[in-house]
Amino acid sequence: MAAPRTTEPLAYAPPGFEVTLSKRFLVAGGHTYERYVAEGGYEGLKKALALSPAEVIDTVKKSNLRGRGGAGFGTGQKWSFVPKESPKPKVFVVNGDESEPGTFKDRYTLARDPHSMLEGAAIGAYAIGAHVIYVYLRGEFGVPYRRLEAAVREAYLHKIFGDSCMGKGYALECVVHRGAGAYICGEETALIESLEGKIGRPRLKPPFPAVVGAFGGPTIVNNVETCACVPLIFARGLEWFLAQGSAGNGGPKLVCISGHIERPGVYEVPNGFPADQLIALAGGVWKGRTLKAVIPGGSSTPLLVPKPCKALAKEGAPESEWPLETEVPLDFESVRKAGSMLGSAAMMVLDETTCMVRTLSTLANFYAFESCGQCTPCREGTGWLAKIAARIERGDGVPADLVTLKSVSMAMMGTTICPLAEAFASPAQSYFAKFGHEFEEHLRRPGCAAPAAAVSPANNTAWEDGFAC
Amino acid sequence: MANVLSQKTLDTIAEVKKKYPTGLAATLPALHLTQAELGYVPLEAELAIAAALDVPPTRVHEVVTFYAMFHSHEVGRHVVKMCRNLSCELRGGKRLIERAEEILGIKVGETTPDGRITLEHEECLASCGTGPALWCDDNLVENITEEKLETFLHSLK
Repeated sequence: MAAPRTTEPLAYAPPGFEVTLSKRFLVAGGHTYERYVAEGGYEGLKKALALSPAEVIDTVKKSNLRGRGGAGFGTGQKWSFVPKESPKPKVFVVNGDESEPGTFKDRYTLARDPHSMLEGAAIGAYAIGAHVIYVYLRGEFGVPYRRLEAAVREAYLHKIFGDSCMGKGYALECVVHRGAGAYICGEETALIESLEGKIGRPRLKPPFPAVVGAFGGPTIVNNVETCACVPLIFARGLEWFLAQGSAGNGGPKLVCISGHIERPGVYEVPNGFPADQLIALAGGVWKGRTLKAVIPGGSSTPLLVPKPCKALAKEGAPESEWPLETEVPLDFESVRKAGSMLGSAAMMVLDETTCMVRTLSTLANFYAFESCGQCTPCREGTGWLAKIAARIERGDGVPADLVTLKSVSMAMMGTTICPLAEAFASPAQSYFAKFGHEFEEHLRRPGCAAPAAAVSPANNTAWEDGFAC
Repeated sequence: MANVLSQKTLDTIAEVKKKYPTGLAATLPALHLTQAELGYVPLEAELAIAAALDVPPTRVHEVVTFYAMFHSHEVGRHVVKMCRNLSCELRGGKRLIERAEEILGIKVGETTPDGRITLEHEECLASCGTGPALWCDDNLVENITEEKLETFLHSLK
């Protein structure tokens, strides 16, 4: 691996904003224990170990840290669901199965700053009374896997893991578990099944994993970035952490931006950073084109378009003062108000030349391929949507197709064990609602009217290969 | 059948098994080790793993067939997985997949006659910011252009 570039790290955060989660991303050796500790690493764990587990949970609750994997559930609250006494060993799991299209932040944390995640996991394990941490990594992570394995070895060597965590007498083991290519294993109960050596089929809830999870024991599954946030709460203090976010959303935030954008990449911003400013920070829509739509939080989230949005406006404001949907502050509540979801904060930018039928068709293929097949509405629904979208795109659609697409997507809502079906049906409905005319146009005049130039050769130098991971 | 996996791999599987509370949990790691040694997972290896972990062979077989990374049949010396998902496609991914088919003279899902390369689709590699991307030999190749793709494919021996 070539020497990391250290130029322009500030290109990836708003000017004047102190980065923490991505601080070591562009630093040579940022993934090593030595470097991590030199920058104050593992101080948060030390402070947490001086508190009682209940105090740790309480502090994390007060921090307003919310899960960064997509659902946005309160981390401290989740931890508090674990029963104090359990006949079966408790388990702490890190979800590093990052597979949501548009999302790539965890890959950088794992490869460039794995100790921050390990420290957070150690604090979490201590808080819930788990003596083992499993880090579930998606199978395709090569460099992140090797870096993480090395980091775990270092952590054992420096007595973070082992019989006595930091000499405080708390036994803590850490095992890295590689997945094998299945999007569904990012869903926490499917992940647990996969960790147990089974095929990744989500479990019926209840019981929730916090009560019955991995190997029958109470289990907490937290996303990589969530874990990486936890040490900051203790090392920098609650006040600092709360100040980095907006109301109800504590801490700094990593966001991904990809697609038709000048400078794609991982950006660190305060929680609640406006979407349009993120686009501007990333150099704007590429090639000087105009914005057609954004997918704000990974492919499972409904589209937002640059049109006035009443729900985001101050009460009673005239329409001329309504902000655009694409100016939404990137926090869970605001994006929900605008009609979408923050999800994993992975924005995909679509420029004016994008064919929305093709976009939907590409995503439909993905969900159809990744459906585990357990529930009929998901297995059949994703398959039907993929087949119909593909034939409309090809120019073979029949007049009833748009109605069928809508009705199939409606039939997938609330009828399955896990959210995968809705994760596609819900955004699909936004394509029909906001770009239904493009589907109709495809049906009227077979084939795609959008210029072929919508797909252009790569023109991306933001993260060069020598520094790839 | 007994010798389908080397003693070294079997020993490593036995070591890995100790990290988990159940034998079954070592199925995925055992299959990764198997694939690292043999390039794919033949039926005989599934049986050997089942015996080593003391689980029914069907449990191993269903895992092999469920997860996209495990191959039940022999593949090329290099498996090139090209992302066909949205972020890559928005930057030209689909055309690059077609280009790879042209360069190699095979379709996605096939192996070159010399056994050098198997070409496959991949559904998002978490490399959306550096797309189009492909994954080969446990490494990512990012920001692919036509020229880069051609050079890369020719570099695989």
